[in-house]
Amino acid sequence: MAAIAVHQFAQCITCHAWSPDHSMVAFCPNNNEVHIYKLVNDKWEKVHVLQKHDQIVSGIDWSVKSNRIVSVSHDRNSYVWSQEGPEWVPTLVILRLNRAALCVQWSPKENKFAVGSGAKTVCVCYYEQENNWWVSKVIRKKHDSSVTSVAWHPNNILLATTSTDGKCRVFSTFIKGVDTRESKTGSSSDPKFGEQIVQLDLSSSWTFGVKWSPSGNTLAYVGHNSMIYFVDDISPSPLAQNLAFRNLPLRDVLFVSEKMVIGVGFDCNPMVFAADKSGLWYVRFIVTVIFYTCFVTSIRFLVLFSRSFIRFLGERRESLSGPKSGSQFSEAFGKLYGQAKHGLSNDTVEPSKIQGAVHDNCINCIALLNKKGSQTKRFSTSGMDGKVVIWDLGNQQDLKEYL
Amino acid sequence: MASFERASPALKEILLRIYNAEKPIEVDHHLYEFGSVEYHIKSSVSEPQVTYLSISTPFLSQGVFLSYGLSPFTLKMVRQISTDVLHIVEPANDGYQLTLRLDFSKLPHNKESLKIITEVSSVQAVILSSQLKEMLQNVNSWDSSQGMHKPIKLIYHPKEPFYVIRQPQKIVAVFPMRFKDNSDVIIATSFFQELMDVVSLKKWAKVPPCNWSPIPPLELRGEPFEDLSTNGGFVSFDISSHHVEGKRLDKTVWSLLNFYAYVKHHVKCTRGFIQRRMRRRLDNLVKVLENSRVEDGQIKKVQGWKKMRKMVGSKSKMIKRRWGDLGKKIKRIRFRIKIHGFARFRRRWLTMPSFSSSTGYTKLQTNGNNN
Amino acid sequence: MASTLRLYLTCIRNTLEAAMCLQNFPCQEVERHNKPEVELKTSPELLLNPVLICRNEAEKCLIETSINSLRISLKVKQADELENILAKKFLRFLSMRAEAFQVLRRKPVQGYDISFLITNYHCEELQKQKLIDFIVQFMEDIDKEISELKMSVSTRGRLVATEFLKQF
Repeated sequence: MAAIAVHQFAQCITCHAWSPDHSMVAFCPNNNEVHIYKLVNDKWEKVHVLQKHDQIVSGIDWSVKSNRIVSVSHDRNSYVWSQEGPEWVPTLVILRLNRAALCVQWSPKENKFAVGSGAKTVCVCYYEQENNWWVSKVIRKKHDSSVTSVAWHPNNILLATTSTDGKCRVFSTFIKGVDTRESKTGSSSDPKFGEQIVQLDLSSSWTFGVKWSPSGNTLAYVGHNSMIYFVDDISPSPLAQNLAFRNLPLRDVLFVSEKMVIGVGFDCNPMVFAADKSGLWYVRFIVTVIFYTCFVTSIRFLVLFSRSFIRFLGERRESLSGPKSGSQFSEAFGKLYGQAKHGLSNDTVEPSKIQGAVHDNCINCIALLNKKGSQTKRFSTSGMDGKVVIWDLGNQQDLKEYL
Repeated sequence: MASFERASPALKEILLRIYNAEKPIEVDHHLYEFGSVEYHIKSSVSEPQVTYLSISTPFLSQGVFLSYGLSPFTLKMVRQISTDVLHIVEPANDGYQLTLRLDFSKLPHNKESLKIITEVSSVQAVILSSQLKEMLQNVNSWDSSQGMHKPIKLIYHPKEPFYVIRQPQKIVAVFPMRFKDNSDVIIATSFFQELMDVVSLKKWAKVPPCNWSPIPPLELRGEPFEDLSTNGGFVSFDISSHHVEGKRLDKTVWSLLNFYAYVKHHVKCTRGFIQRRMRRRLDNLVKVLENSRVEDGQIKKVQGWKKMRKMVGSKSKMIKRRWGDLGKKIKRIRFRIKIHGFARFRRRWLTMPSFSSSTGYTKLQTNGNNN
Repeated sequence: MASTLRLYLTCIRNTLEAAMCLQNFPCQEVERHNKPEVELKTSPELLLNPVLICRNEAEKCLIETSINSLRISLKVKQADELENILAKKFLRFLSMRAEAFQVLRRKPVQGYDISFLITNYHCEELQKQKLIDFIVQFMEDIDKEISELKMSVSTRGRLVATEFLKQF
């Protein structure tokens, strides 16, 4: 089993984040508070409760270098918490949002953070020294629906967003005074703040969980139609690969390495996707690689790295009728998402139930737990069952080549 | 039909009280009952052991009988209740059809007295059923040459008349059925279908053949429209001579008179039965849902629901207690069939033998209150 | 007959497994509010295609999903008048006591006999598989109950008729 630790913290966890030394974890137990637990003598103890929000806290991020926590909530507010002595002190953030905030992430340099909101806008916040608060610049009118997830490119300028209108967009968030111009990067003129670099319309359903690979070359995000999208070479003509799988949709993804992606979602089991130069790869139970033609202008269709789904990380006892039931799911999905209908199968078999999975309910957050310099790859997941599970890929032999 | 009491419970209670009183009491009491029946009970101290009972009851059928008071046949039946105790006073008191002089001193001092008083209290039933008996007894005396006759409209319940039509060799009783609620109509219709099915079985060859039709039968053509507009169809019974021989006459007459009440009671009990079953099924379904709850929140929620049920339970107990005290007072005003029907009805159904159904048919109980 | 029921229920179960992927989603129209989107229908991008599963002309099931809520509407078979009133009575009885069920909707959707509304909060409290089991069992139970009721009412009627005729 890849899961090495399971902790039940609450009835339901919205999101979680780890402290820089991984000794403390901050999460929201489905209410308006942020709880911080510390591992003391192999037991988790509640050390802090951050209470400032009025409604459920939808996003938490803990910066590594500056040890600050940013939290955003459905009450349209956001706070940056810094530890002064034993207490966490909040700093006001002027978000200027008129709808709920859904997600947040510190930029790699931690001088900015981005907030996606239900007002169909993205706020990029930076610190103003004179007034001791965080102000925001808003990217407006670029999204058609709520922004569900944001992700920073390692260069601290590019920001990828996903939205419930089914599209993934990449913007430039260059802010004068905060970011330094880098004349090394290719483009002749650095784009202005809020300029859309590329819009990817690959999914017919809502998109979630966008992440960049560690080098920033690849972008991955998931769609609610049980697809995961990998995009290389972000430019006016990007390369895209879609991967469909026969399970319930994913909610979030994580790049464990340049070639391996972990996806988590409604199946309560993390899924491993890996890139392989040599083409399709059949491993274990289910591998499906389906290529779709996309009718968005100028998306090239070459596949340099073909990616495939490897397997589930948790154990999964499937009944003999596994593939059949999968086909029934995809039919159901097809109808829900308006794709071509397949004939109704005449199976009277009950679909396989997920047994032996570590999580009981949907997993909605995944975070990397890497110690710098260490070989082993660890990550943690939290879900609607209130558990935080730590997974270790070190003892998975077949996955070692992708790390 | 024995399940509907013939004796008026209020009248019986008053007479019993007068009979059992240690010393003579002054009584001048008017009693009103459903169906426009009025009783006047008078007992004075000067004449101990004697009570005068006057009855006013609407006639079963308007027509011949009205102007001449009660027919001699009826008076004969009334006298037959108890020749010792009961005397008919001529003429009847003002406003009443019949005045009786009851001499309690002639009552035997044993359990027979209760029986006689009960029979005296059922004098109204006697009057009405005797009128119908008279009509039915003549079924054989009509020659075939007489042919068809105009239907006679009989009113036992106000607003629910039924028709008796004389035909050669038989009398047809037709009941137009009306119901307020559409679901009542459907329940009653299915009951009538069952009735017809049962009658057609060989085992029941002796019963009067019964028929149900949604449209008025031919015999009723010519009757006023409002009587013929029904939503439950028409039930007709063919009464032939052997149904009115001897003792059977009384049973037949009483069954016919109370047919409406019977059907209505059945519909009401069925509705109560359906309600009970639905409630049981609801409980089962809720249990399934509560099993699916995550364990932490379970305790709170289950208690909350149970608390609600406890409250409802204790409320009904309170009501029952209070009702017991007021029961006697209320009985006086209530419709007689409603009250006593339950006791007899319950006794009847509970002694039902050997019926077992694969569908888990539950024992019939009376409606609503026992939930 | 039984085989089509199994197929029908299996199809509904599979569709529910796919459709019951709900998440907390604040309202886009009104600030600080959280409403079931499938009821509001103000933002079409948040709704998925409704799926209609028909067993025959008389029985069908409509499943409408959105990002944070799911609505299931059922139409049960009513072969004759008696079944008609029994079904109506029974389903209205259940709908009136909807708070006992939590996921039941007080009024059925237009054109159907009974409706469920499942939100992401129900998915957080109740286990998804068991919730789906409950709904499928509910459907079976309704059918069973109505046919049992009908049979009981007929049997009662027969008994009562027999008793009445014994008088003669």
